[in-house]
Amino acid sequence: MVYNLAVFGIDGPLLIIAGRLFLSIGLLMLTDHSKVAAEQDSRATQDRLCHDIAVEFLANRQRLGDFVWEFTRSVGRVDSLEDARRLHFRESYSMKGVWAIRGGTVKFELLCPSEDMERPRPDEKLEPGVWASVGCGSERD
Amino acid sequence: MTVSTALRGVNIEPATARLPVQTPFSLGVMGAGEEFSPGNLILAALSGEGSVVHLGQVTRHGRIVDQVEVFQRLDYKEMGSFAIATRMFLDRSQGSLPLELEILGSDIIDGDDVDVDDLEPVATVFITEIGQTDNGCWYPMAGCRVSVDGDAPY
Repeated sequence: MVYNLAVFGIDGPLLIIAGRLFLSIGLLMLTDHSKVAAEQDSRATQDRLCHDIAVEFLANRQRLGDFVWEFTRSVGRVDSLEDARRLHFRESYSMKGVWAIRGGTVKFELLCPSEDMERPRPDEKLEPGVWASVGCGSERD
Repeated sequence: MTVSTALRGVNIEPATARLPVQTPFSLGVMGAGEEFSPGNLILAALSGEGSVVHLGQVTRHGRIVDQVEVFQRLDYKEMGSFAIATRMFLDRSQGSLPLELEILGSDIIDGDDVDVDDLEPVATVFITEIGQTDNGCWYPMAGCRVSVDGDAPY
């Protein structure tokens, strides 16, 4: 089918300009569409990556299983984040804590009084291969 | 069986502050039942309860980690609405544990427009030592949680 654009008053150089304009708009729309598609792809990739990381975290956390861990906790004040990381206190005090997990549920938490630490543990009999307990060490190097 | 010796922890906060629930895993910033752990936070955001963005891999404390940020709006009937951003640096080679986790928050907000840049630091957690169990699980051996005190820098 042939359209005679001249009937709409468009001919010669105007026709060329109109043609280029249509072509430019078409290309622009195509580019925009590609951009949107790329952004959607990127978003989907990011979401997948975040999902994978979340699943890794939770799987590791779940596989920790049942165990008891006794440790020392120190509370104090520091002058900077770097000091905090290095445990360079201005002043501090320490206490013993117990962290016990059974079936993924926290049974004991920090700040346990010392008598709690002496009680028989519900997790003494563990499945083979499951990490069981650690000793309570010094609060500082 | 290989065992570790200690958790060396530091918790800096005002003397009057109420001590939160803590384990070496949550260090007091993951809520009851670790509801706000990195894994749960990210999955919640992906399901529409907030937004999550992966900001690429960066080096943190000498290791290559993935930087992920979760942004949430929390609405409470009695207290109002708050905006919370959690900035995580997760080590995928060690169970995706956070080597660093920074929590930023807002005062009560009105309307929907909240910029992450306007949020203030609330707490930062560092995991400085990570151990591995006999069955291949990774766990925090040493770390600290730094709470921001209104009067002191940290």
